[in-house]
Amino acid sequence: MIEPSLVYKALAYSSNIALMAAGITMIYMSTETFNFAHASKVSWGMYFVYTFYNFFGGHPYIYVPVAAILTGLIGVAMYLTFNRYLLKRGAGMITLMMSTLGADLILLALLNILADYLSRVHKLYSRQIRMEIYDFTVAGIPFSTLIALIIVVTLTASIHLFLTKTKFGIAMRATIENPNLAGILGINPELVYLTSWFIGGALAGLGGALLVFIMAGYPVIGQYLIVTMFAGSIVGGLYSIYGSLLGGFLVGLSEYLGIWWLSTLFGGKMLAYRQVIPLVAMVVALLFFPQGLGGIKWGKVAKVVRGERS
Amino acid sequence: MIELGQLYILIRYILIDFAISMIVTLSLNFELGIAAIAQFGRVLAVEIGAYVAGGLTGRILAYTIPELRQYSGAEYSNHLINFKLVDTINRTLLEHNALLSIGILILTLALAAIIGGIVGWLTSYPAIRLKEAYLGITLLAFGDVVMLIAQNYDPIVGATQGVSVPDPFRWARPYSFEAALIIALILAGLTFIFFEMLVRSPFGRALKAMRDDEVAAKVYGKDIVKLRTYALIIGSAFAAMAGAYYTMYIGSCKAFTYTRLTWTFWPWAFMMLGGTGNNVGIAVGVLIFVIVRTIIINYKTYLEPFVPFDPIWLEPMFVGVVIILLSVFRPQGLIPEKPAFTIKKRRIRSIIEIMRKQAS
Amino acid sequence: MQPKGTVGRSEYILETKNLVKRFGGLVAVNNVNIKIKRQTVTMLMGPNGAGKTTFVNTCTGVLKPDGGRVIFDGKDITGWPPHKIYASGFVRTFQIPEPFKSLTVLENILVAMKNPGESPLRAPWKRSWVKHEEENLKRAFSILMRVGLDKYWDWEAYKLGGGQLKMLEVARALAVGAKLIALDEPIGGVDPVYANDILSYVRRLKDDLKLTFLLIEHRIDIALPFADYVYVMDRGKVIAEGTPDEVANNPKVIEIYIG
Ligand SMILES: Nc1ncnc2c1ncn2[C@@H]1O[C@H](COP(=O)(O)OP(=O)(O)OP(=O)(O)O)[C@@H](O)[C@H]1O
Ligand SMILES: [Mg+2]
Repeated sequence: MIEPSLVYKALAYSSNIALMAAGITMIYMSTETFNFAHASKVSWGMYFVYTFYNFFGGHPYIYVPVAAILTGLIGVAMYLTFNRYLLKRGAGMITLMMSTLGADLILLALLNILADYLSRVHKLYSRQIRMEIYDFTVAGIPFSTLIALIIVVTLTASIHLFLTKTKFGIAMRATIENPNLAGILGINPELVYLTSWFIGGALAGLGGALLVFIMAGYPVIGQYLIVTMFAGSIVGGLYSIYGSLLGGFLVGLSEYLGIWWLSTLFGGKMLAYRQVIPLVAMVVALLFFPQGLGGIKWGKVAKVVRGERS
Repeated sequence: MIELGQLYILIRYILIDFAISMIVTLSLNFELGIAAIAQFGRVLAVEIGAYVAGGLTGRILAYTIPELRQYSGAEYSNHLINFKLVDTINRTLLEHNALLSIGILILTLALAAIIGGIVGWLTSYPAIRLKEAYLGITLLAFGDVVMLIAQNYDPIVGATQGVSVPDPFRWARPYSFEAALIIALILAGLTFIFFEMLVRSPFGRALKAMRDDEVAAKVYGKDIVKLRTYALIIGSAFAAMAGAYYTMYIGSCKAFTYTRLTWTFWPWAFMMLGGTGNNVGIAVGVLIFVIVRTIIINYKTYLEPFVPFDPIWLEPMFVGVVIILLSVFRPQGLIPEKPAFTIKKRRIRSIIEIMRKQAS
Repeated sequence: MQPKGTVGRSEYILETKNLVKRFGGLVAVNNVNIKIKRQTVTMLMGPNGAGKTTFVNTCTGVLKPDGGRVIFDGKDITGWPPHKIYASGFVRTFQIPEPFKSLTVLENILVAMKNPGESPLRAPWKRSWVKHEEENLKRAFSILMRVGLDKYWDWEAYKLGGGQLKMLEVARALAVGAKLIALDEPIGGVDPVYANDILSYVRRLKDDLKLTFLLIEHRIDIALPFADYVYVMDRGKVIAEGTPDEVANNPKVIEIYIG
């Protein structure tokens, strides 16, 4: 039988992957940029929580929103320093992708420098950070699971409200769907791109900051997780925030539970192959359902399921 | 001031790094710069080549020695046995036999090229179905997963322990390093000439046509599926040879050496700096980066006392900054691509002159 | 996958049977039956959005048809990929020029011609293809001289102006050595004197090399005299056909052209 604690961890893990995948989709939808730097932003999210907690004390959870805002600002900085110019020049997808890789290398180097600094000057064990002990339970459920689930649900609802009810949200949708139209409607597309980079970055940091309460963090963890994040985003169809939340959640869940199941069957050796699961999910999605979950006409599916053939 | 001996070691190191990085980057440039395939999984073919050198050649050699034959199967890569095996192979077969050593070197490179080519052919399945970034991410993930498997499954190259690699340069002792360096430079030179010939052939021109305008290329008779597949096979074969050579020169094969950072992203940066699509540019880009990299690695000890971190991190920082600056300010690289003619320009001119005279 | 029913050699080099192409709800090509006689210049005219370009795209494999058949030179080529249609002897130009931007003008022509050096196995052995390449070069350059692009032979195509790119399109198609060449508005935006010159060159090629042309044109005043037979399309359908004179005096045609 599967341990309840494992189920909780699986739920927390998948919810956080969902957030990260949504961040990737957010930036891709608006600027056609596949953001490699998402990897390091996730790691930075973890280290922000760790560092602030070690310097300023209190409860580590209070630094989660701070981490999200700071990684959001990293996103903004990326947009302002280079992505903006590349978009204006009409650079191709590969150049856009490559430039974020450059940013990822810089962020990775800076994070390693931070980790070195923390260990050499402050004698912290910063190459592998563990914050699981600070997690607590609410009504028997680990807070890490509870908060991740709550955030995913709220996010789903609030994105819907934001994009359909607020003026800026509607403007944003219009810009993403048709940048020329946005200009005519008097919307500044740059503001929309900036916002996407902020939200996208914040989601990466948020995912990382929450993840540190269920698993060990180290400076390159984002580079390991990036395949899972991309897989979630691609399974979600890349053009739908809801798709990416669902895709990230499903990919994360199948990775976590799939590897648990395989290791009960074939032994702990299987744990090493964990990353294979998101890869398979992604390749299957790309080759067989290129539209992803977001591209499926759910209304139609519901009709078919109810037996009202269209 | 540094001493002469030190300088010599430094230059030696720069040159061999240059030669191997050059082969990988030329192969990447052929796939991306000429054929416009988003090859974000260069490491895949490189590591396959490395595993051929680390896992296959040694087994073949062990099989030829009757006392070692029983170990040429899965046990070969058990680290408790492996180092003894390889040591025996080195001493009994390779140490005193330059000809055999060179033969083994060539055999390994050939096997790496063939198996690398097959891997390239397999990756053409997604490559002809997916576009740009989607393909890039798929190839990237393939490279990661192969490394993951090799790193955890003993029978390939001894998982995390790694394996020793039969040393095809030992006969040249005490000039093994020089032998490895000279052969590497020759290989890099041949690779350069080969890719230049391809680029200046109707085949290379067809690839460039496909890159510039896929629809027009199709209408003018280019089979896109075949062209992409050929480019992937050729590129991967060369990348695999580079991986195999690197492994033989290092003398050991550990799966975790073959990361996407070193064998995919670094070559991308070299290519972007030199000039995508231009083999001469690639040489320049690789040389600059390799020099900077070597300097950082060698002088980090001088910097170490003054900063509270390991100066090695300056390297990715430098590469990252260069990538961003290039993509914003000079996407064509230091030496932009120039038209490459199949026939020498002088010859074309003389043919043209005759035709003009006839016409008037 | 590809039906290879041989229909036999007929006097028509191209024949479409109830060809249909839809874009969502829009039927851009609606049951079109067009026959092109060998060694003629057949003209296809019609107002903007009539479906002329879509017709060519559907015949040459750039778009997959939604219905009907395309018979070329006795072979059913419906749904074939473009490179196979090229190999069987049918090429087309693009209305909006699609040059190979980074290649030189000369290479834009050479790349369209067949050469054994395109096989990766022969490519490194220059000796195995260089003779062929020099022959191609001579033919390519004579075409460049004819269309007036010879001065620019070593320019990259992206450096050319709009009219020059149009001529590059024409030159590239003529160089292939195809049996049927579809020219999609080859003289759009080119001045009338030059346009006349190009079209008479096309007619001469037809006679000298026994080629067949499908000429898509907007400017009937210039093009009509060069055609042997004319089809008129409007909103996806063929609404008239006949000799240039018949079509020019057809009230339906006059009506759509007046608007
Ligand atoms: N790829 C496409 N997707 C959707 N609609 C298209 C597409 N291509 C063409 N159309 C539509 O199909 C119709 C026919 O277009 P087409 O380009 O074939 O006309 P045409 O006769 O070539 O016109 P023109 O003289 O302007 O070149 C037009 O209404 C056009 O908007
Ligand atoms: Mg048209």
